[in-house]
Amino acid sequence: MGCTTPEVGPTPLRRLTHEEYDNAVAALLGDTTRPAQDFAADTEVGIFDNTAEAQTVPVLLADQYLSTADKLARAVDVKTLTGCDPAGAMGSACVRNFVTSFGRRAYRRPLEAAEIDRYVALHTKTASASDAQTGVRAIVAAVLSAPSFLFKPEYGGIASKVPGAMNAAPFELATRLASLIWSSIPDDALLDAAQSGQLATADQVTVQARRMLADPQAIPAARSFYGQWLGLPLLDAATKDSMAYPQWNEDLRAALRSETEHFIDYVLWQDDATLSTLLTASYSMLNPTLAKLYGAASTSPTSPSSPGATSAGANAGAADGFTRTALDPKQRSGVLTQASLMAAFGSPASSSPIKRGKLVRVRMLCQDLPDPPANVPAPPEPKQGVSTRERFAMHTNNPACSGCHNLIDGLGFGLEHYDGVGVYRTMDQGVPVDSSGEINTTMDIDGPYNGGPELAQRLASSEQVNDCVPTQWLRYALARREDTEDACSLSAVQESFASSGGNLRELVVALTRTDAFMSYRSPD
Amino acid sequence: MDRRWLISRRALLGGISAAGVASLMPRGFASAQAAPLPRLLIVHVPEGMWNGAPRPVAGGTNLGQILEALQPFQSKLLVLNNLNMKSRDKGPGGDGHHRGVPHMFTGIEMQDENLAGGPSIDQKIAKAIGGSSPFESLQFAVRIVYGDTNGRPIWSAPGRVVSAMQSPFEAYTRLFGGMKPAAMGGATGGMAPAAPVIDLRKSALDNAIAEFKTLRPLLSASDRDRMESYQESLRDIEKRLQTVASAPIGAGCPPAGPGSTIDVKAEANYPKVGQLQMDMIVGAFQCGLTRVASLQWGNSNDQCTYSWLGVNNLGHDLAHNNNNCDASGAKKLKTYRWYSEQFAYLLGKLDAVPEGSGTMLDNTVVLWASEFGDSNGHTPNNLMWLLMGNAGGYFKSGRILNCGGKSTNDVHTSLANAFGLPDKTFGNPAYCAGPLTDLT
Repeated sequence: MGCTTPEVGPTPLRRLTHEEYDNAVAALLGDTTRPAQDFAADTEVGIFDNTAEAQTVPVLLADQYLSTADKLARAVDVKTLTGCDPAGAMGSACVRNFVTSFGRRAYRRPLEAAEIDRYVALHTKTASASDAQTGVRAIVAAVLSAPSFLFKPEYGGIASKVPGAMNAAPFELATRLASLIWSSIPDDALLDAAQSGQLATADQVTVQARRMLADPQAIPAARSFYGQWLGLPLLDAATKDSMAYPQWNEDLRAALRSETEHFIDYVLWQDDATLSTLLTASYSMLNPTLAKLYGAASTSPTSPSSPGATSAGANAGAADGFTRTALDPKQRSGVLTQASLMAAFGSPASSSPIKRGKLVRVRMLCQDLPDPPANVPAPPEPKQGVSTRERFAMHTNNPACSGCHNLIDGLGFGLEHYDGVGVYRTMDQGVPVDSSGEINTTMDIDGPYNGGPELAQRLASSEQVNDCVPTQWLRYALARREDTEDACSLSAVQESFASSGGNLRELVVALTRTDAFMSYRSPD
Repeated sequence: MDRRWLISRRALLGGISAAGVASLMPRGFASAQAAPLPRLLIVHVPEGMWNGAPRPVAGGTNLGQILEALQPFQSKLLVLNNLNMKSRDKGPGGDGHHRGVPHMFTGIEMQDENLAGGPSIDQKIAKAIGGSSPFESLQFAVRIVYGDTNGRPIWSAPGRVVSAMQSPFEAYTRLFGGMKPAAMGGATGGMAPAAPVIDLRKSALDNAIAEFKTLRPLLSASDRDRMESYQESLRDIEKRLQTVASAPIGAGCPPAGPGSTIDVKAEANYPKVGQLQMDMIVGAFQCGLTRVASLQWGNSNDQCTYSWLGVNNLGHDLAHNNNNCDASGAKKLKTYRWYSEQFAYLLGKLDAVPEGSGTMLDNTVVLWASEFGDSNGHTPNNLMWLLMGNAGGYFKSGRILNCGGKSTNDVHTSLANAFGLPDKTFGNPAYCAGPLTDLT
């Protein structure tokens, strides 16, 4: 995919993700119960949960939108929310002002006069059947159920110098920025910038992007992106055999997830925020239980004094007793070798060189793999005296398998020191672990290697991996796979990312300056 | 505005007699006098047929090891052996799992590799018969681990998935939350009606529908379609909210509550959640909430280890055992027999409800389906599906048939006909020869 002339790819209508919904109701109402966690999940498409194509609203989800809106509206303190008395002498001004300001936050743009009138009329009608407070609750419930709140329609574009494209209107850019950087809706400062003409140029967008990256809301949003990219959500569903792994339980599952989340937070907001550190850090964030699991000496806190530290990250990683802990660099290196991912990409009773090899090939090298043929026989059961690696020997011996498994197994075998729940081992089924592997079919890191740390170092040094992460970000930002028209935008982000020394915060800033982010296709 | 909106169901029931409630019931609520209307229930079990145990033989009476638990219901079963899912390997899509599930009930090429290309048979029937029910259809599931097409069998239209409730606790509130058992004298036991409670959902819904009108012309065709999925869902809910009166309160309605909440995602709770979901389905039928329902056990590429059976291997991995009757085959057999036992529970519950001149099972047809004819090879051919109950005498039950490789779309066409749809084909007509001739 090469950049020749600037173009803009398709821009499908997006809906709030469930995470964005939760953050939006927290921003609008102060409700932090995260009701959307129980919403019907969208059909998974690709590795991110925001793919536009899947964002329909089946009846169950519509029911959940309505009953949640009803429940949240009943729970609000009307006087606090409106800042005035809708039943008082100035009641009608109170209601109109509330509709205007609440509507602007929720719709991420000023309401049209007709929309304000519609909500005021709803208040009048409800109040006459009940009371003025209930009228305000009816407005809240209606706004939270409105298509303009739940979807992100874009139709206000202005002429662009890119052929066939329009620049997204300032308020539309505000919504795009808030989705990307906060997984939420814009705050008043962002809407004010849009309203006052301060959100039109790439430089103005950058000013806001930097402000937003320094805000605490950026922390969970980035954590969510990196978690999804790496496949951390798969840990939630991973089943483990209690015979093979008696130490496995729900507390351990939660702790492993927390470790990686805290680690992501720490790298991004307290350390130097580079991809290289994410992939090769010689430490992790452990609590006492995990320190034991890792065989780490102690969990003595290391003072965060990195030049990369930002105000946003002031508290990142410090909570819940997880502290920065040095790990044996011969055993662990960065996020790929953490127990969370090794468990998520492990089998119930063994490791899985296949799942792990695919993790590296698809998610980190951005190379798609064909589906396996249908009638694959089951791998032999784990057996004393036969290592996991030997069990999969048929992949290389059988030509029907070797075509694809040559692309997979050599990346997974290097991680054989980590068992199905991520514990470091030297023996597998009574046989010494052989963690030699071979990387092939990459642009720049082909060749033999040995063990997780060396694999991680190799990946961190790879231009292909350093180009892949911006590709994943672009997919996430556009809520779709990249298209040929995105070539120039993508290479711009990749070049900026490289020249920033692989800084993951700068990657996001660069992404918001691209044509792909700042504009959309003209309607036909 | 229709003033009925302003009166809650509870206030209404408190103020008038039970007979009065019955007169307010919309058409479609089952009543003791009228002939019961037939219902459809689709059940999906993951991972297809394991062929290590012999299948029932056409013309015979022995259901075999896998279906043994269903033997007491044999006279109410139709075993449909040797069906082919002819659309499955056509058009875009991923592997057998990712194709099998979205193809199984739609019988048409997928729209792209992520989304089905047409409505599933239950939705087609629901559109035709569900209009007078509070819920056009209801979907239940037990522990979906994979949210991609492996776990998405039900579609209302091309590209539009229908989500299933995975929690019987959520289901109970959504379906029966407003009802009170008759023994308690209705909602308020004859006390004075409470002050009107405004249903904020109704005005929110009206507001949303008003807004679609202004948004619609601003969107491109494909964007409009996705937004319209919300609009159509709201229309469906609107009908239900307009059904001011509740279901007939009486025997079995509302059903007993699901008890204290358990983690519906924990594998250890799979049997319990499944049983509760089956209770919810029977309760929904008894309350006349819907005539079309589905139940999905897990997902294809089965990620359950059936630890309560002592299996401790992923269902998917066991499926790939070449149908050997070795140790892993014995485990696989255990899991299939367990699913049959769950069906026996469901059929027993349906058969225990007297209805018309027979039972609720007689007036229902349950399609029991899975996506592979051979779980080892993940093939779409030689499937074995079951029809249980006979939709009010429509199907001639109590037989084991060999369908000779006919299309699953033919079965779907037969189902459509059973519910009065005149359709001659279902799904892509290229993979359909019309209804199966030997079922009625």
